Amino acid sequence: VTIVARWNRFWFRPGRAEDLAIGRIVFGAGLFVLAVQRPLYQWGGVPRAYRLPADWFGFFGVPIASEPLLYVLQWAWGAAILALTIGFFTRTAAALVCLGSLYLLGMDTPEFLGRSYTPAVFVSAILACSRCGDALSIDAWRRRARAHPEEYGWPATLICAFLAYTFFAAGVSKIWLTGFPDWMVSDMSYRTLLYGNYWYASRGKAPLPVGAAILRVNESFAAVIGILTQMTELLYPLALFARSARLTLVPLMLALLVGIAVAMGPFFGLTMLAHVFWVPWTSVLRPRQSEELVDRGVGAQREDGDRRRLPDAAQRVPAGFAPTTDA
Amino acid sequence: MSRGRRRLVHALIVAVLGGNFVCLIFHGQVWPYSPYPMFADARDRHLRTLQTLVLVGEAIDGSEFWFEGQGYLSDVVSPMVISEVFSAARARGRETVERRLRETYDFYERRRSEGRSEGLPLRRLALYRFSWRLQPDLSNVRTPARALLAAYPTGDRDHP
Repeated sequence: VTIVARWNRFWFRPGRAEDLAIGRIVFGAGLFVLAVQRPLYQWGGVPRAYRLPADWFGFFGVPIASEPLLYVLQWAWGAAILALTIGFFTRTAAALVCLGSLYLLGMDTPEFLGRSYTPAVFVSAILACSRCGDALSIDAWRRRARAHPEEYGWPATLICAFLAYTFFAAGVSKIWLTGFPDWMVSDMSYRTLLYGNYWYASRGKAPLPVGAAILRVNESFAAVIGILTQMTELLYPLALFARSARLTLVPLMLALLVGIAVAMGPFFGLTMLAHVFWVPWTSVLRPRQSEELVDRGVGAQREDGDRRRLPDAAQRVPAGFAPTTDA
Repeated sequence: MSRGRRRLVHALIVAVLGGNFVCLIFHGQVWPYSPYPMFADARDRHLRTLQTLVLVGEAIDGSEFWFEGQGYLSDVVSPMVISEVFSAARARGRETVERRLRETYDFYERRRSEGRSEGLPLRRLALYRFSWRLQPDLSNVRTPARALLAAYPTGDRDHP
């Protein structure tokens, strides 16, 4: 098999429109909660010195609008997120969400504090280029579009590849700045938790600021957490290629993110939400029906008589925790 | 899938992953691209203290409060941003620090008078450096060592 064939098989495996649609709905709903909760428009009213937008705002002369105008923009952004979630003019809505995220979240000290928001830009950009509105959407109800199995796999694969980059880069950055295996065997995890508790606990952000105290019960426990953290980050990309890695590394990383939020304060909500694209929902929620569809060679979700057979190579992957499709 | 669609997907792969890898290689951040260096620097492994700059409001009734997450300066300005802004101001000199304090005081009072925050009327706004000797039981979270750096409007200062 040539490299080109392997490349195409990796990226363009057929998928199910419903899996992509459920990812769109869950991620959109979470992003909508962020859009409603975070009053980004207030950046328009704070003294200029407090504004720490992305560097390119200054480079390209992009202004931070007035507070009333930002208020309108944030509502428009929220409406676009809602439209993306329910699948109403889905691709246009996703493009607007991407642009809105780029600008509004770009004001929100992104290069200083806001790295956890990057999925808002990248996931919406990927959805804008995909056919994520072909199922479970108002668009699908309005139009009788034919199914495109080859279009439903790559968006989830690319989103999962982005997640893999995120954690791999975090692991590499630790090597870059501290050395290997210096970071993981240092007591950095203990001190990081402790810093977080001082920085956030005094401001009431960590729901349960006991992480550092727990790690202090046993000296070696902190080192174990450090090794676990960095190894999970560095090995996370394996989840793109091996089912066993998906079943172990992805839940482990989610557990670490939950632990950070609970014990320390920083909440990587959008990164956690983006993990929804790892799950082949049709296999998980309706395994028997999914198997039947595969047995009948039916690749798509539509009941409009335009069902298409999946390519033979894609037919017999066991149902389970796969990044794109169970088909 | 048409050839045009495949090209679009490949362009997207380059834009999403390629841009991020460039940031990783050069270790720089250009929103929304990042090398995600959270908690990566462990070189100061023997450091057992934490320092930060904190705005402290001294109310007319004599009470004192720290600017934390109460929304006195809007709901988007976090304590970390305050510390960063005043660290940069200190690097520029005393006048810049005093100008920032004056702007902040005026902004605080304006929001308060407009009913947009529930802060108390201020007698003075002070900038402190807080230092904590890290304790696993967090017993000193609310009792850091403090050094007054500047204040407005009275202008007291220990360390300009």
